[in-house]
Amino acid sequence: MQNKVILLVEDNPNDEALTLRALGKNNIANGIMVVRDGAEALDFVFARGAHAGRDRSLVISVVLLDLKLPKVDGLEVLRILREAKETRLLPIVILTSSKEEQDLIQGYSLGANSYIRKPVDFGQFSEAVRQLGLYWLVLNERPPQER
Amino acid sequence: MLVSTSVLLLASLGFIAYELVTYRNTMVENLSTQAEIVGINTISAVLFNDPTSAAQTMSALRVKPSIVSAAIYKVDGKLFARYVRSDGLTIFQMPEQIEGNTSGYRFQNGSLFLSRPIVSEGERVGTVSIQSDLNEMETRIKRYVSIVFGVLAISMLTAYGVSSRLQGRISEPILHLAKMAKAVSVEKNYSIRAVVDSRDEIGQLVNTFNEMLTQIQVRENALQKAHDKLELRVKERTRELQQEIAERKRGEETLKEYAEQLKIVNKELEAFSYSVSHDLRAPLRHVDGFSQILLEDYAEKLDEQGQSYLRQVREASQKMSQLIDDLLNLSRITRAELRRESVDISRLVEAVAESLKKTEQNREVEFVIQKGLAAQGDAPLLRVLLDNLLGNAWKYTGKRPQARIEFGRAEKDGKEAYFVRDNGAGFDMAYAHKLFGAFQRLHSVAEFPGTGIGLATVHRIVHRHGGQIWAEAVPDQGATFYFTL
Repeated sequence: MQNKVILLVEDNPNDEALTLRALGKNNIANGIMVVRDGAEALDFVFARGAHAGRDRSLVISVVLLDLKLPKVDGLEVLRILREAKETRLLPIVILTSSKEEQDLIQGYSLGANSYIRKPVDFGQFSEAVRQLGLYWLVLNERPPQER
Repeated sequence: MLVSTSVLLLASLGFIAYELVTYRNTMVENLSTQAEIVGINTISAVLFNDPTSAAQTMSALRVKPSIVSAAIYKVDGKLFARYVRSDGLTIFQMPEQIEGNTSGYRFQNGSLFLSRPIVSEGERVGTVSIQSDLNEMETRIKRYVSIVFGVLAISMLTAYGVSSRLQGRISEPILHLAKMAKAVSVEKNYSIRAVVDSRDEIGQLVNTFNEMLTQIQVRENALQKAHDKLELRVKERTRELQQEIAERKRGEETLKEYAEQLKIVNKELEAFSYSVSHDLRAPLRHVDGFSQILLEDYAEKLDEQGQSYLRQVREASQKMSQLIDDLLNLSRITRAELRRESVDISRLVEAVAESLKKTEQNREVEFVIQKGLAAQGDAPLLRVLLDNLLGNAWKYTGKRPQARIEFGRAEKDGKEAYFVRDNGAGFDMAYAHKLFGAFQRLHSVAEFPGTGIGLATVHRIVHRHGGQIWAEAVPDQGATFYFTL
């Protein structure tokens, strides 16, 4: 069985805590990897830099990407991931508080699979995460691994 | 002088001509008389056939040297006696035979030939012919001519003399005047004055001329002054106009600067909104999230009151989130570009009504929508406007079992206005002026939910379209909102 993991790219510890809790509550049967900025996210995906020694058998089922990140910005991470051959088809869900039209347009133009806005209400947030998990991890057919 | 000379010449020529003509006649007369006298004196000689006597009588003619020759003819025309001037040169040229009844005269070859009958007791007995040369006449005429020319000469001299004097007195001043006039008109120098020489009419003329020049000079000065003044004014006006133009340019530039600044401010606002939507929401989310977690995980450790507090914390953060959303929307509407097009507003209202019905499927609300109304406006903004107005109508008829919402266009206060009418809670007209303020509410949240931003948004949308919005209501009977675009 493959080692599936969700990559959560989130700089805010509070948001991280709430997201993890929401994921946990919904019994998502995946490991969750949390990285705190864009550079670290890329390092992890490409198994380099700070994460050079990570387990290469790990399969990233979906990337939950916040937009405002230190070091490398969320949209930039998206762009780089979409340019690299091995991550071209990687499912990436933008999870952000911004509802600005420009972010939506940019996100989709750069090739995000989905754009979710984090609601303030925790109940709604929880529900959103649940649905996310259900969709991307269970319902959605993953693209084949390109190696 | 030319005039006088020519006149004299003409006159003289006239006299000469006259003399010529009359002298001829005189000569003929004289010769005729002489011929008759000779005739009378030779009657007896002819009658008694005495040529010698006749010749003797005729020799008396030598008294007149102009008579060249004379002849007497008998009645049959035969030459009877002759006379010829005795200067040794003259040759007798008279014919030997003439016609018996010859009479009369002719001028021929520089001589005058004259014949007269000799009559005795009423009977013609012979003819007298005399030939005279024209010397006398010529001499006389010569004399006449010389006299005439003499007179002419004298007259001319006199005329010359007179005219010279006159020139000095008359022509010269006039010529001088003419020269001055020309100088004035050519040089445009109005200070020239002609010299006054005498007290008479010429002098008067010169004086008058000078007066005229003075007048002209005065006028010229006045004209020059006016011209200068005008130029000055033109210069001033030009300067004024230039200033105006410069000011206007400055105004334009200021406007441009303002436009630029506005653009910058708008950009800053956009950045601000972005920031707000992102950064303000995050902590709210955390507040809400952790309160919820608290409620879930530590419910047994908290009493009712504690749980109630936590719930209030959650509610407060939710409300704040709503407020932030509303504010962001309002600011977006202010910033957005207005694109006018023809919109089927009736259909838009129907769409909004449909979506409202879907939110509460159990409610029965009667919608009366006037069909086929079109308006010129920005479609998305109009949608927001109708969402708010109809949403309000929907909300405030919530307690009414027979809710009725109307939409249409009518004439109100002399204008064509759209209206949304409901038979809901209405409001007190005393507070009508507060209706459209941001976050102003005329009902409590307990009665009807809402942040009070809806009408402020509507108000702004209407104003951006250049229209007006106002409302009429009766408490507990309903409200009508009118707006123009």
